[in-house]
Amino acid sequence: MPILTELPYDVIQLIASFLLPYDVLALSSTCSSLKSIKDERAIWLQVADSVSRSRPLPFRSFQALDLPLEIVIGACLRAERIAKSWAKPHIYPRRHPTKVIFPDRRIITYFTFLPGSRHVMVFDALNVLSCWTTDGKLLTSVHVQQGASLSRWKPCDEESSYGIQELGSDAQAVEITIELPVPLLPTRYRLILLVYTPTDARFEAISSFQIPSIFEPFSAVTQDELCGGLVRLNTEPERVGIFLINKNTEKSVCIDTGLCLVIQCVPQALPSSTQLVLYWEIASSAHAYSYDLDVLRDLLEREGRNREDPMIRIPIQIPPSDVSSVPFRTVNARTCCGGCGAHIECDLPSTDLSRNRHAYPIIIPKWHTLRENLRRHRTRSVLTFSRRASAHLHVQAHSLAMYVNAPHYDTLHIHLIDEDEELIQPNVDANTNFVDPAPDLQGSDHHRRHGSRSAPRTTIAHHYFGTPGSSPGNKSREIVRTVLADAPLRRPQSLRVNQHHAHALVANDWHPEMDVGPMTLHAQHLAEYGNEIDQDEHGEEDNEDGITTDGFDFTDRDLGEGLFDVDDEDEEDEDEEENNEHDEYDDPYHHNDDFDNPVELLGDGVLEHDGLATLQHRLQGLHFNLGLEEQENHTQAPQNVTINPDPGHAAGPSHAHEHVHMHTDAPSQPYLVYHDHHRGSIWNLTPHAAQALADILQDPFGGSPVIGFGGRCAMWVEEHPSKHQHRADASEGRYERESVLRVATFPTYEPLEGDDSAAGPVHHDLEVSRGCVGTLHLPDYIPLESSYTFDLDDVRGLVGVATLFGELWLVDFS
Amino acid sequence: MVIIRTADKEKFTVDRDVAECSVLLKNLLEDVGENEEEEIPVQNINSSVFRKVLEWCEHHKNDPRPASDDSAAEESRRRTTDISEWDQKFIAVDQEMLFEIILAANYLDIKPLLDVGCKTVANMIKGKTPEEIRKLFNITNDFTPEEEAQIRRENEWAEDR
Repeated sequence: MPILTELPYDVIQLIASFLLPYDVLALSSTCSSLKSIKDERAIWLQVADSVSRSRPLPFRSFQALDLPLEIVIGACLRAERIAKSWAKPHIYPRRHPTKVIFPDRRIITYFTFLPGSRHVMVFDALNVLSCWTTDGKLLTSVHVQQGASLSRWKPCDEESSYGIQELGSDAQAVEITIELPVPLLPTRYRLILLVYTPTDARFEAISSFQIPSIFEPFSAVTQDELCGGLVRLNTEPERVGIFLINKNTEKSVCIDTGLCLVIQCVPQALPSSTQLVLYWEIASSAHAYSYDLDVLRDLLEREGRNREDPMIRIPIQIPPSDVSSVPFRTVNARTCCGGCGAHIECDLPSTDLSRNRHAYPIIIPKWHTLRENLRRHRTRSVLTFSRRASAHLHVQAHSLAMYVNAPHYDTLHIHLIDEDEELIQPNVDANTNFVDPAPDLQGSDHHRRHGSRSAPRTTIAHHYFGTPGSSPGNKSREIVRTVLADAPLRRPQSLRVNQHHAHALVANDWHPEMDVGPMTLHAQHLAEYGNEIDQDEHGEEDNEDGITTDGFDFTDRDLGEGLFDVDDEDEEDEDEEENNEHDEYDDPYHHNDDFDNPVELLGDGVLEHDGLATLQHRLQGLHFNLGLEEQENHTQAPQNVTINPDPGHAAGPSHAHEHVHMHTDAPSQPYLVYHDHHRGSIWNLTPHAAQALADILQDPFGGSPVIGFGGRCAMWVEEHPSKHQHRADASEGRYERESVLRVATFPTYEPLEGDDSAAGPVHHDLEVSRGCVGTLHLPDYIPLESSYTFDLDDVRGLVGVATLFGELWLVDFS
Repeated sequence: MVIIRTADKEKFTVDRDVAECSVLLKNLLEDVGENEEEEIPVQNINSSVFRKVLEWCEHHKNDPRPASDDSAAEESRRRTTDISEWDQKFIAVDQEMLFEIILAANYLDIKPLLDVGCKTVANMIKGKTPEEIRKLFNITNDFTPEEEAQIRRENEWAEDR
């Protein structure tokens, strides 16, 4: 009688190839004759291949062949863990998180997990781009220009022109588009290449391009030798244009697409190796207008002009080569009832996404899996109604107002809200932090039944094209729209500063151990985690709570000195440098020897007298645009406020506010107002204070969804009434907010009838989390209430949370 | 029709199309040509197992047969752990017969049947601990306690990658 161990080894291998990763480990642990299957690369490559049909892996097939086997095994095990654990309603960290932090605790304004899932790219308040490992080690950094913002980044394909493959199979790269300050017209973009390996990274300046000031760009385009952007054409009515530049020949052309521009629903550019697609959505369908890239290349060759040629300002009318309106097919995800955690079939009353005011779909690049033929994959592009805030918020006057409540004499509540939001959140007013959602707002019945009050809801949906592998001419496409949640996204953050201590803040006499209030400025956190970390000789240190604090290896930091000043071909660079000579190449560390104060807290004269403090991190490089809208008090808001530190005295917190210079191209008028309802006064905040707040609250929604690079999950922050608030507060109409971190897994891979090439998933066990929405529970010491920027790596199950304390926490939820 | 003789000397008269589900038999039949009276021996398979294999081949004789170099079809066939309803009933046999069918499919080079057998074994293994797998398949644990501890450590280390 044959038994399992007596089967031929190739048959054992075949059996193992049908197993899930943990089953392979279990089988190999049964006896010595089966032990060797764990070390069979062929088995693990097949396991990885089958896993990759359901879960993204951090490597591609050509990489997997050369990777150490333990890396392949670890990735497969992790993928299985995520697939199973993220199907649960409550998800907890697997281990202590890693903390990424600069010694000066500068605010991290944007960060993202990078392809490969072992690196994080960080853009901070000092305009320093840096690359870290997910273990918390700084690999490299570069100082980009003052006032610049991170416009877009995308991974470089292995077939890209940058020759990434020549650097080794473990090298990866992303192309970063930097948008330079608005006053430095014509609008200019710079492209930076970040190349990274497991142990090294470097930034390289690739090129720059500019778009004539007559056009207002709104979506950058970079693909191979082409760059440019979608622009607004000054026609009547306004139309969408494509300004394209050939980086090699420097010829430019502007294309009039003939498409009317709808301000609230501007298209996004989705360049690929073959097509440039202009994509936008309305409630019923998605619109895609595509141009064949070769046609555009030919056009550039024939009609392209040098940038000095005034004719480049005259658009050429070229209709899209393919116009399609793709209907939505809506699928409802299983969602979790926020309170009870139970899975329910959520029959949403409406799938009309026109309620989403911020319809900026995020374009997720290729899902890098073991599959080579991505056309066979269902996930051709993943879109969601969400956004990533730019690194530095450009605040438009008409869209920002600040309301301050003073329900207690010694506590000031500050809320920044988007006035647009207020228009559609009519029950949010200046007097009350939280009120019942409007009766017509969908999906609130449950919460009303439970006697709680919740924020207005936002429908979060995920999209993907439903027919992979279809030919470009196939008109039978549809977009599968999965409504993931009808969620009360966290509203603008609240800053509360104890008035007593506010005076101390203004006087620069603030100490971390001071108790400055119940929220936001959690002095106890600053004291607990401290900013003076004693490093051991290896640059690693665990604090007393056992939290990893390695990552302070600044000895080999590369600040990228001169990255941009080597660009001598552009005369305007020189002008730019003259304008910003004080700070453009400042070493962010150079002036900041005193790292004792984690953040600078600064007020101005008005604030001193009012006892309202502003949280002001380092001022270097801040820039924002307040627009020119008329205010209620008939003053004109300043435009393009730039705050520069005096180069001679830039850093020390104790001297900071003495040497801050504000440059505005309009009189420094008070702009933002706050209402003190106790004293009935209206006090003015200067742009300085507004900037401080706006910069902190770069994402006024605070909880907008982010989507994982693997394209399988999204995460957002919901807001619920706190379970711990005082009854008296509730009776007065004030409600404590409680942030809840939620994660949803998309159903992105479904069998298509009659399409053998898109057969069903290998392992149903790995598909259990599809369409599930669960709650991620952060450790108590990570203050979700003080967090404002998030990212999700659904490949390794990592969640990143940046807080107002200059910390970036990387939490492993696998 | 072709005549196939099993290890226990039993003869089976089989439709050529059915026999050609096996790559081994197909090659042998090509060698003997149209001579229908020549017996084809299958020495490693006894009659009870071969009967079962023939049952499977009879049911699947009209299935498209991928060319040996058709990697896409191979991938499509192997990409799912799903087993068709008929195959599930077919393979619902005792463990001894299951392994005999797997061995026969391997010997006769009937890849789809081999897959069905291996997927069935894989499905039996899924979700089980090493001890449960040992019990299920009557595997003797020949590890020393030290080796078991070492394996546990290695597995934990692999998880943390």
